[in-house]
Amino acid sequence: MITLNQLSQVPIYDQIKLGLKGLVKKGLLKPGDAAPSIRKMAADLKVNPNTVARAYRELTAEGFFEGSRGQENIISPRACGLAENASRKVSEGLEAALKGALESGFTWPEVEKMIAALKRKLL
Amino acid sequence: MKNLIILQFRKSLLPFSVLAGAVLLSVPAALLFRPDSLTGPEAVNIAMLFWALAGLPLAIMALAGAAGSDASSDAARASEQPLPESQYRQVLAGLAAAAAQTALLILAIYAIMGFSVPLDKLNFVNAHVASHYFFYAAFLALYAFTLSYALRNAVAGGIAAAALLAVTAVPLLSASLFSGLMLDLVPMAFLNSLTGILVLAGTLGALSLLCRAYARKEAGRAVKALFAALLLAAPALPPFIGLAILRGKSAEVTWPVFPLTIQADAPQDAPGVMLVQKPFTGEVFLIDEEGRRAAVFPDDSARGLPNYFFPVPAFVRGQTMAGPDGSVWVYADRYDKPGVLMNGSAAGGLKLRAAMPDSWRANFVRGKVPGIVERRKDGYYYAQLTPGDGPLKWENVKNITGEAAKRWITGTGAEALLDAFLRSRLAEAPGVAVLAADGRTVTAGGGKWTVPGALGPKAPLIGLRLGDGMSYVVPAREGKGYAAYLCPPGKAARRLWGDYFRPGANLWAAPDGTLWGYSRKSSIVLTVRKLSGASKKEFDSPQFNILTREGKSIESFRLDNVLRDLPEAEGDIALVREEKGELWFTIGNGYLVKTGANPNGPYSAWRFPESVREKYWRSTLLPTRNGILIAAMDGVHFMDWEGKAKRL
Amino acid sequence: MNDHILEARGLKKAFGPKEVLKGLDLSAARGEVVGILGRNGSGKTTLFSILLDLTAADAGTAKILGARPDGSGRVRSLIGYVPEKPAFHGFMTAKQVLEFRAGFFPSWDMAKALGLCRKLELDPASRVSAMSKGNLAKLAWITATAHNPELLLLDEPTSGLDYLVRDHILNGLIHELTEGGKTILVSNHRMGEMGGILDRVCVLKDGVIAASHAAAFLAEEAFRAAARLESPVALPDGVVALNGSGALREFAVFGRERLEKLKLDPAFAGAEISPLSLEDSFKVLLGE
Repeated sequence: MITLNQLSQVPIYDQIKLGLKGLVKKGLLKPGDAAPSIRKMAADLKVNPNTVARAYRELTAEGFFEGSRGQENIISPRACGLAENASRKVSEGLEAALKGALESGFTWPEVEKMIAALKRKLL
Repeated sequence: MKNLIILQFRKSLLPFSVLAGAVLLSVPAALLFRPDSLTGPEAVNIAMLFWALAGLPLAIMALAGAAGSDASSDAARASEQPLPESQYRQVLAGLAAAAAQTALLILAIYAIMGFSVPLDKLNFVNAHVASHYFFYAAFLALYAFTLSYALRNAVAGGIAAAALLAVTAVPLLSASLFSGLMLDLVPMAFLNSLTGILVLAGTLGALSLLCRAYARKEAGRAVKALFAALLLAAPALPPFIGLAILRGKSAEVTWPVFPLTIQADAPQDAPGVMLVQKPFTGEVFLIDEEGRRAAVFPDDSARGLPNYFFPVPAFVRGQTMAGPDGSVWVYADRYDKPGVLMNGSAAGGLKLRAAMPDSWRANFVRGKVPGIVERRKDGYYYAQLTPGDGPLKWENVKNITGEAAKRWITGTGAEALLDAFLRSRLAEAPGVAVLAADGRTVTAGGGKWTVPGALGPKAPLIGLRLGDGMSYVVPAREGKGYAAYLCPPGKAARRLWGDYFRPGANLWAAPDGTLWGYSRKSSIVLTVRKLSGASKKEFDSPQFNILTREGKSIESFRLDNVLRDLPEAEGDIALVREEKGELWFTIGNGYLVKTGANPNGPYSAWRFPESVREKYWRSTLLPTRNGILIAAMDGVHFMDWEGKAKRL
Repeated sequence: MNDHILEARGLKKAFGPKEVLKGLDLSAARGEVVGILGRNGSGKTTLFSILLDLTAADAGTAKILGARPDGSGRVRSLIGYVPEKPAFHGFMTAKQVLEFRAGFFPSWDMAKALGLCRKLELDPASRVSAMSKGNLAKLAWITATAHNPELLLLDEPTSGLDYLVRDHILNGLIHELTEGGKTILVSNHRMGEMGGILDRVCVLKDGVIAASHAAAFLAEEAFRAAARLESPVALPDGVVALNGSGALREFAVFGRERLEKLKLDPAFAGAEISPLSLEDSFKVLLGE
């Protein structure tokens, strides 16, 4: 369900958070569902449960999870919104930048080359 | 820990079961295949003895060796080291299991034998092993385990253990042999216990060191291994040291050459010497009261290594006789040496006068010219003991008296021949008297006496030199009882005592010439009677009849008073001296007692040295004119008439 | 508060002339997962052996959950140990092994042990002598964890095992971590597969812990830089040459700050930056 990118500089707990948010955005996880238990998530991803625990703690703080039924973390109704928000913000920013570039006279191939160079720079 | 031991049992279940099964199966096998000469139980016993002496040692080496090498194997270490039990205890668990298996097998064999071992049916070595079996088996099991652990190989460990066992067992066996000779020279119980403790401690210590060095890989491995080796070798020390001490002490053991008297016409003129042998060194020598010695046989104890471990004491027969010139004649004979006849003195040395290679027996014969009668294969030979250095002339006795030869040929025995010889040859010599056929006339060297009712002796009467010359004591029948007559030189026979006395049988001369004898027993009878709870010891002292040199007669002299006071007084009593009315007695190997004429009066008693008192069961005292020569465990002692004793 | 489960100081061990450990310091806090990274023969087994009170150290001290390795083996009752080559008595079945071990650990949980057998698909009735390497590893794992020790010592727990068994073992590890409070010391040749589980990596080199890095650091701040060098250059701290010949070279850079410094360095102008995988990070650390 969630895949981790070992090579990424993004910390694992962050990747877990983003992964869950992505699942909600794709509709694979709906509000009211229980997220996979810490143990299962840790076992599936082969990561330290503490890392998963940290991700879940932060998600709870952000409101992604609501009050838990026993040990389970339940996706809150706001989760969708949070996921949507995050991705919409990124999308809007990108759209604005690209529109600006195209309007400035850059061709698509040039824009793609720039993206590649930035990718290397930002990494 | 218990679980580990159970695990070890489980690991060696197969070999143990096979061995136990073999032991059990040998019972029906023995019953089935026994030879007809043995009964069923005997056959089973033999099978079990075979197991104990041959099969079980191999089994122990196999079980304990396998356990030891397993404990040091990588496989065992890998599967058992993760357990939270110290590595040393894990090794000990293996040792305990092997020891328990050994004990079970021994118990099974012992039980099948009916809990008793027929020690009398075994030769000395096997009997020793059987009676110390538990020790030897434990040694083998502990050492096979430890050495297999050290060498990481069951076969090497087993063989090394067996070798060490042999090294330790041989001196133990030897010491046991010494004890078997009833020479309690070294405290065997202490030695054996010490060896046993060293075996156990050595094994445990060595295993600890080896575990630390090789399992825990502590620093200083070589040193630890060396110490372990020393610990394992230690138990061999007490037996060897004990054996060395035993050998040293046994070389001191002296024993008289019996018969322990010096033949002399006049004992009071005889030199105070004793013929002494050292059974464990082969030395035989003549020793006098000052301690001067003359050798008869030299020390030949260096007879090789087997003799070092298993000394065979050799006992010498011999006799001593005082010659008329004051010299001493010595005859000595050992079973593996030719007999020797020597002459001389303790101070001046002894010279060989005749070698007697195929002598069976020899007897000195007293007389004006002393002689010797020797029994060889082909008859009796006689030689006069001439002073000087020349060789002796031997004549075949047969040739001397036809009568004697007739008696010999008709088979009346060797003693008869000797007696006949003496009668015919020496009856006219001073110091020998014979009873005529009429039963009343006693003749000796020119003297003649009439003794009514004289009892016809089959052997000649040996004379006793009293104050007035060579006298004879002749027993006679008197009515329903007996009497003893004294036949002094130049005077008529006179009745001495009203009891049966026969010189040599119950009448003797002390070294100073005093005659003494007893009409009943010579030893003390101790009866313990219980009188309403308390036990009372009652002594039954012999009654002594004494005739002093001056001719004074004392009858029925009892020593009850003295014996009651002396603890542990036991053995034969002998009169050894009379001087100015005081009497000296020896009691067994225990006491020298001096009393006055009154047996109930004051007396002095001195104990003999411990080395003769408690170890010897036979009297080894030789009274002389000046004191008593004592052959003891630690050499020859001399005690004077006031009880002062010294070692010579 | 110093809640170190394990503290080793100045451990020294020599076998004859060969010094294996030369004053090694190591500590692990409660709940930490520490990976020991070292080449074959670097002394990992010796280190574990000393910690487990199976070998005596020549010098130095160690304290594990308050107990010292003193030859009594008591320390081993507090540790769950999975050896590199697990060995059990061939004549026992798995269940008998568990029952045998139970007798030595007062805190043994037989229900947990049997449950693990079920979960790992290990037949309790199977005989040890007939077990495959994978099954032996499973049994080793079960015996190590069944008495709920606070410290687990794992020596190559997944080496030589097929994917599925390896998965089982790693899941088991994570399960133990989920229970909470467990400290784990693990040595693994393929440390990469455990990258997500580790908190810290210690590099055992030349008989000491040469370096100790947080796993997150290695995961997030290790980079590969490919640059063209006209002339030989002294490498700054934290930059290790990887390979390359001629003018084109590749380097490993540890730490975001160092990377920024490198990017500003004129000698490394125009360098291509890409992330360095955990595997490669480990290789670099080992080779250093």
